[in-house]
Amino acid sequence: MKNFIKVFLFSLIVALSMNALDMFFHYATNTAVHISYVAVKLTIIFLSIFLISQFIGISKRDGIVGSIFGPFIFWLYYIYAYPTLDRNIFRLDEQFYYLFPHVAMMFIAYFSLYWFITKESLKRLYFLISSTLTLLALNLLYFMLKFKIRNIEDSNAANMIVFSDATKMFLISLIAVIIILIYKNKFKYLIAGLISAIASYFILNTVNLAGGLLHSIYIFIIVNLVFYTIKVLGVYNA
Amino acid sequence: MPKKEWFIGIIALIIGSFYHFIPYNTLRSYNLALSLGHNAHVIIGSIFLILAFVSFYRLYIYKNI
Repeated sequence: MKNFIKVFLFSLIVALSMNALDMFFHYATNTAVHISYVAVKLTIIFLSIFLISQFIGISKRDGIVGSIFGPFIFWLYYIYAYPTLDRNIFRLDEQFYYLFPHVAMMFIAYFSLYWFITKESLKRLYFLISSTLTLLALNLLYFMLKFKIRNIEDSNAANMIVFSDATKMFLISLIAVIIILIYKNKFKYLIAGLISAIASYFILNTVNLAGGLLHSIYIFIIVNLVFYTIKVLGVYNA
Repeated sequence: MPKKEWFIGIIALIIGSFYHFIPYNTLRSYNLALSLGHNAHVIIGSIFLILAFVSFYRLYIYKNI
């Protein structure tokens, strides 16, 4: 797999999946997460995977190297950069031992997509992991960007999404993926997008997250885009 | 071919380490801050360090596999 666009999409999906796991981990462990942090992490993880995939390749060995190197370089960034949140008030994940869960998350993100592309067995499981995590990341990023556009301070925005909200978004993503997996119809992407858009309209109706119709349209679009992208990546190498 | 990897790797490692590890105030005092904030310097440094790593990793692949 050496085509530039395929490598770009592969790296993007891996970076998004890893960040979804990371954001979920932050909400679960009550460590602060906000758009400035996620944007840097997304950039560094994406660049690490993209450059390794483009100039060396996509393989088991490259996956292991990228899974260790990506989080390591981000940890290096984090200990030298000034935190955008006050370390005295917010709990941040800058200690060295946080590197290990990040490596594990990177491993899950990389190999779920890599095995979806290269293996024949358990293809549906790998598809489920990759697409659910990518959708979750795009969903969470939507709200983080919305807070940023509304000029809400990072310190306030970090408290506006809680673990239960992230779980609801995870369930919305999961609904879409399960529909794709069980429904055998040429319109299944559109149906999955529509159902998850309706579900998000009714489930995400808290004060901070009320996305309204715009968010539902966004969900419909990303569900179709993500499924199409992952399917294309899988088909090319099958 | 390995000459290119050595060249890119060493240059990227020097630039990356320079912007990543040298304190911001030191860079500013020598007019090397490029009108950027501290965090922007660190991310530029990180990007160059990634580039350096990929160059040396590619070199390792050429030599060993």
